Amino acid sequence: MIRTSFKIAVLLWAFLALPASLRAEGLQGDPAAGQKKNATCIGCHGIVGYKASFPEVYRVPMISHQGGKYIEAAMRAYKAGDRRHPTMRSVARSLSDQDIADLAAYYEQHGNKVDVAEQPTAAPAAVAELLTKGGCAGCHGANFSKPLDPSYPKLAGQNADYLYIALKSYQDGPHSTWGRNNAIMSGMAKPYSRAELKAIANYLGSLPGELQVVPQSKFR
Amino acid sequence: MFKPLEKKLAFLTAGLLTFVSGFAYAVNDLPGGPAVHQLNLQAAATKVAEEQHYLHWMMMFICVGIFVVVFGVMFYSIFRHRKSLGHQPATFHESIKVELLWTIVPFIIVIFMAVPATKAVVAEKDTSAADITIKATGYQWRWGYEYLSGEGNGINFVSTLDVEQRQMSDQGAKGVDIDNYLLKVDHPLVVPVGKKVRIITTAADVIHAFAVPAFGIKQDAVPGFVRDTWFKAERTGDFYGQCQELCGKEHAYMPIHVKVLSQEDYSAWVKSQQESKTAAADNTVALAQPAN
Repeated sequence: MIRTSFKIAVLLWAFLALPASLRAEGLQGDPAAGQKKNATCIGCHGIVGYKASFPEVYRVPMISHQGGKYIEAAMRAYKAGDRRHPTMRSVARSLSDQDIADLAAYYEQHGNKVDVAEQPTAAPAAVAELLTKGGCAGCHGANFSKPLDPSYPKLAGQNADYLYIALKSYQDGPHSTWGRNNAIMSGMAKPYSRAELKAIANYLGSLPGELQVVPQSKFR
Repeated sequence: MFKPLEKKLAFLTAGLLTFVSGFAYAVNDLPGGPAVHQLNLQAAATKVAEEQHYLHWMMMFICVGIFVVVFGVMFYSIFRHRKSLGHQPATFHESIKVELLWTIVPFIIVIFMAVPATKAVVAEKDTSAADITIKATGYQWRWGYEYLSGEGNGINFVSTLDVEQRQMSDQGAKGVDIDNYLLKVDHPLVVPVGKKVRIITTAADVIHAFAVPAFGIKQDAVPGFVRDTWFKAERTGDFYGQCQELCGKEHAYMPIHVKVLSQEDYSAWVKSQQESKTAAADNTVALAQPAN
């Protein structure tokens, strides 16, 4: 009994310890406004198979139909320097908080509605063990498409090479041009070996999910 | 018989002319940037650019001179010594005199052009003893500027194309008559007049190129490497350039806008920037405090 309440207290404190920018969200995003500001987003995230070239090579994450609050949190993290990526930081720096909210709202509804099964196909035993160890499904959802909190990302079907780099970045912590700083995810990623992170990323990438790349129409 | 057709033609021509002229004259020349129906190079704003203009025209005239002489001799010979007048082909072989002549003359001409050209290239590459050093970083798709040394040291910002102009482009830019179309940025690069400014170029993702035609500079910005170039603006005003290395979908939408200010204005700008930076830093500190 005492233990349970202690756990709850710890969780509560973990939430309160999140950066203020992640919690208090007064800004209301407007998808229509977001559509007018997304020219540079399309340049990478709207091209099927597009790869980031520096500091590491991987397919850029799919962002259409990703959670809006998560996109917002990620952009703020790039702006604040918790996520280190020179190009994404330059993008985030040129956007106001309202711009970020608009873009997040736009990409949340961008793409086709996909119904994802509540339970994903069972993971291979080795990977299942790793996922249980980290308790990944606890926050990101049983099917990895229904995160517990809107500021957590949907992971199912995301590009596996990107997921691996992201996990590795949490493990590495912030460096000059790579790495991520996130109290929760750093703690989550640290215990794993690189090979284990890769196995997790490959499994998550193989799941059916809502995330998509929607190329811009050729006729405008 | 001809009247209706002529009338139609005249009507069509008049229509076409009004269409073309209406199309062309809605926009004005942009000082420091492209001009309407521009044929020549952009007006020089640095000594280096002036030198480049001189070289350009000097070599153009030499080429035209050679062209006239060579083709003049050729056509004169063809016409005056044609077979129908009874001329017979020459039968000599291996004239040392002629061969020496047509080797030495071009050699002298090339040397004559190479000496001033080399001087100009050496001057362009001499980035030593700069008053202000600025790092320009190419991103997909915007420029980041960091003032590394000299007055304004520590200022850094990102320069992005105006969102409204970007939207106009997507809509086909119909009826757009803005002089600085697709050249307007949120934060231009600000430099003082008459000071040697060294630009260090690099990139964060793919190769870009930093170029301002009026200054006569163009330097590739390569990820993981630094390259440099310099300019000393001779007059105040706005000068424009664009990324000149194909860098992805938005390559055409990452303009360079350099604002050249007088020394006093520049000092004032630096002061305002550093004040707003301190204010921003104070804000960050305030944010870092736990909100109750």
